[in-house]
Amino acid sequence: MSAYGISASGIRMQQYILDTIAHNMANMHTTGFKARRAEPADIRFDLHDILELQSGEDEPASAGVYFQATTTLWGQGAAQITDRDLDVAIFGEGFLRIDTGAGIAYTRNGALNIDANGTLVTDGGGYVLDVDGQPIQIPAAMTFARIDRAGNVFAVPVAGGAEQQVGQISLARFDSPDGLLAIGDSLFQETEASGAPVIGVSGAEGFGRVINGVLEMANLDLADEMTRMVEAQRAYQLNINALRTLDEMIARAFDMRR
Amino acid sequence: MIRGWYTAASGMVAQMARQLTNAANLANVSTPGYRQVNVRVEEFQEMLLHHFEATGEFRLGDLSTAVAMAPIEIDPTQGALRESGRPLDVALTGPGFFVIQGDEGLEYTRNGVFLLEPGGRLMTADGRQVNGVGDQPIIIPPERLDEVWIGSDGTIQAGDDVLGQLRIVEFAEPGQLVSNGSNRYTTDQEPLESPGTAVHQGFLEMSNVDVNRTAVDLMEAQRAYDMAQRMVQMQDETLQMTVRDLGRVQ
Repeated sequence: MSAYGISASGIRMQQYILDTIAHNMANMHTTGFKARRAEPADIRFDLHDILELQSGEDEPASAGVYFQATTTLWGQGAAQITDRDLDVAIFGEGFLRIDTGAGIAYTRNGALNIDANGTLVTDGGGYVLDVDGQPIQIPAAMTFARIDRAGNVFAVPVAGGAEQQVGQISLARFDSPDGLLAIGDSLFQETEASGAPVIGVSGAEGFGRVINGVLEMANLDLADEMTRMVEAQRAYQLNINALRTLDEMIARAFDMRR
Repeated sequence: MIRGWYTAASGMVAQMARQLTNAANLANVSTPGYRQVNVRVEEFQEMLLHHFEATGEFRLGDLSTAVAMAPIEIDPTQGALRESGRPLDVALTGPGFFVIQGDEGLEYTRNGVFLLEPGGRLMTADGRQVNGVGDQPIIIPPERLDEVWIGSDGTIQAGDDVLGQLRIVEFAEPGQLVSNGSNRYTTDQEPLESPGTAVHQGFLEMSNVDVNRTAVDLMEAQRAYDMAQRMVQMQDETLQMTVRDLGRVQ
């Protein structure tokens, strides 16, 4: 009976909202994490259909609410100064381009490392790509020196001598970042909805700047998330009350022939 | 006597309709821009009159379920605004609606969760075009999203460049808008431009569901339903007595 479905949809929606909030709060300390929001939308409400007063040949009547989309809040997260040479934060638009081994992904998490082969990698081990889509390699017999604000990576010979530029970190920007697919580990994947990436470098038009020695924290407003959580819990309870009330009424209808 | 039976039964249907409406409203308590639905509980005579005045869809011979046949109205009351900080979240204060390009003509919404499609056209969260003045699309160059500024009249600017203006309309009878689901409404009323509606960037309008009233109404409707059910049973018992006792040959 569709009567139950209405409140069930409300309960489910509040569950989605709570899940999203829980996910946000769990990532409170995740570098480069962007808070998300579950977007509800109503389902057309037609009493005639629901009460089955008219014989509709259309799809079965329903009402209530459905989970329409998740939007990501792209606002800049707070900067945390780490003074670590391999930490970078993007101030403004843009993502680091990463070759994860399973494909290209995009991230705002700039906690970088040099792996055993001298390649610039992310926390998760993906290669950080330059404008040509190549990994950035520290040549043999050289060691990593620094990253400047243009995203240039410098290395110095182990034997001593002047530093050399060995590569430049590229940035990617999307027409519709809301269309990106979050695949975990602060990574995003391009989709049809996001459009193809525009590749550029730090400071280019439409791109932010790469700042070294800094990490971008999660852009979470804890107080706001807490408020939403309490609200969602209350809304969840209300929908359960509505469900119970309806159930009692329907039980009463079945009782009539006693 | 049998007529009383039907009256009581239609009372049950009416209260069930009221309860389903409450359930639908509560399910949408977190839906931005949602307008709560009101069901009018009408007496039969009133309803009959209403149907003679209305479209003429009334079919004689239907169960006189009073309320189920009464039209649903949406409540145009303003919802509370909540700051979201998202540059393409837009809330309205006043009687107006955003205009969106539906599959079959214009649709209207108070839900201002907008985004850009690749290329920069302003869309609703479910991928329909948000109309500017003159029902033109609004194109925001994605690389300038950072500097987008939406004025209270709906003018969208990036820096000093005016990119367009959101079309905001109102209706003579906002309660008569018909829900299409997905936060969209339609109507055959003529949309009127609405200079009295203010646009707020970085905010969302919450649903206008009156939680306290609805929670109380849940109980009221349940009790009224119980009462109607008791009436049906009483009618049944009376009828039973008639059949069993009155007809018995001593």
